[in-house]
Amino acid sequence: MGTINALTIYKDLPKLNCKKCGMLCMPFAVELMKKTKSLEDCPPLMEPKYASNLEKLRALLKPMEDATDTGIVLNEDVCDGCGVCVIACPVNSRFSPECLSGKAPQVPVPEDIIYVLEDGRCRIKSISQCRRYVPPKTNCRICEIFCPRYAIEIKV
Amino acid sequence: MPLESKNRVTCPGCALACDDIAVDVQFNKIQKVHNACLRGNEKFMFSGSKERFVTPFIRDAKDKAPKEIKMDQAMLLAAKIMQDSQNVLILGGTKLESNAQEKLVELARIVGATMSFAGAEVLNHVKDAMKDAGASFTTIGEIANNADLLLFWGANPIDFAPKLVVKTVFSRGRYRQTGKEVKKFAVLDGNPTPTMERADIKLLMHPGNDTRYLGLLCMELQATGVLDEKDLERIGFTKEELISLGPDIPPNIKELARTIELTEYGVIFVGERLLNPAAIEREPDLLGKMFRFGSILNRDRRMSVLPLSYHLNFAGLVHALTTSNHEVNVKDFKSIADSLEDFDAVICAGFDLVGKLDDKQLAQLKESKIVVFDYKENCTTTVADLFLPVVMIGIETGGEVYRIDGSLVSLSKCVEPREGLSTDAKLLQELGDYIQNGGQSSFNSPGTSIN
Repeated sequence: MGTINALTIYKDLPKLNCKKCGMLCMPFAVELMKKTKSLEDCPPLMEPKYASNLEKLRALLKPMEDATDTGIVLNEDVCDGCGVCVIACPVNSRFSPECLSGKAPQVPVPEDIIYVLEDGRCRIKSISQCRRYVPPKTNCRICEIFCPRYAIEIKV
Repeated sequence: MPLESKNRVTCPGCALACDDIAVDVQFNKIQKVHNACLRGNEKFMFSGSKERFVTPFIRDAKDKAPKEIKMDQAMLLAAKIMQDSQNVLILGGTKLESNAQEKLVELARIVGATMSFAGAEVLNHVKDAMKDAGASFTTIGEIANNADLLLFWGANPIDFAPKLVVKTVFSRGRYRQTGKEVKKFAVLDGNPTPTMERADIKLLMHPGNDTRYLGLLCMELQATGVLDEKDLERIGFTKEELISLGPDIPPNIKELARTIELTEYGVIFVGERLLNPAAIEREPDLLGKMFRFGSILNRDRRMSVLPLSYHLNFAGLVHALTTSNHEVNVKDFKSIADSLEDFDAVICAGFDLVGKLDDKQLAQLKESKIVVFDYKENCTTTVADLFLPVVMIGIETGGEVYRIDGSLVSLSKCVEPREGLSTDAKLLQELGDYIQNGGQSSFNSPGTSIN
């Protein structure tokens, strides 16, 4: 599945710029991506003539239902606990000196660590310091790029 | 009882011996494992599992059902089996800690047993090739701190030891603070593997063509001035041989040659695909050429060659065998598997023999007595005449093992072993003493016999 962005969402919106949702269509697409608005906030989209568009958009946005606020979706079934994400994540390295030397953080794990390995699989502990979350938000995708099992996907 | 967290535990799951594991222990049982991969986690959690084999048994001669016996009786029977046998075969030992391996080699000497283990067939070949080439060794820490080229040749660590790539390719070292960004990750293999998918330079070759690709790489390095004609001869390529490879050099080989030219410290990991008897038979001088290649490149830059074996303490058994004062007969497993009828007793120390045999080879075992030392069920325990449970190394007992890079590391004890269980080292020592002293030992108890 390709990356979801505002433009792919915008393509299937009615593009009427009616402002019934309180804004123009393009900003609405951006808000949809951020999950601050839902498809139901667009009254024209609920009309029968846009039914196919609505269906497409629902399919497009479905993966984001599982996504955390940073858009990170972790598929634990695929993960084999190699720990690449734990040591590659810049935030983990910032809060845990062990990660800087290629080792996993010791317990008790620092509060702001994002990725930890528990029970042989990767888990997201906290996203409060993720670079995708903390202003200025950056499009950091290191965990997704390095994961050898493709267990991490960033949906936005 | 409060939950106790133990940090810096060494994982006994594979030869990588990761030393950053943490375990939560409560009621003398591991409740949670932090920082281990799936394989390591499974091993730690298995220590408290109900499926664990903790009672010795013998197999009833009539109905072939296992019958529980006491540990003393089991030890006595094991000793008697070895005493009464003309030819004893001892299998395995690569997953034991170093002290137990020494006892195993000593026991083999006392009973005049033949030893074999997975990888025995390539051991001498690799040792000779490394000795002849004067190849440079390295450690995982050194790789993390300094290496900027990681070349995996016929290796797929993401499947076999997932944390190896983490510790070498993705880790930030002392002089490689940006981690993967300053490192080149190259994979050459005969099959598309998960390791290859994430590599910067990937080369999918036809299996069995490794010598050809090594020749092409040498030719390209000669063209860039890294190697000269004499070097190629020293590596083992004749002029005619190189001409026969043809002038077309794949772009990936050119890129790899450029990377080698610019590298400060490169490591060639020789993987499982090259370290098996079939590969050595197909290309007998390949390993020699690779080690000489690494050794010659080491002249102008640092270049190390590291053969990969994922068994917990493979290097330890090699060490125990080579430092033993007495000659022990070690045979390759392939020839052993075809001549099992020669042995009237087979001792498996953490080795699943039956799982490695076909029906024809299995039929040869009918007359042999099989004794198994292990902590879990496997194919061999289902036919074993005698089973002796042992404690789990690195979880219920400490010890020392040689890591994948040859460094000696200590294993930790996380929980107390279950009552009545002994370490492999203790059992093997007692068996050796008993046989050597002609039947005088503490575990003398009247009892049971195997028909």
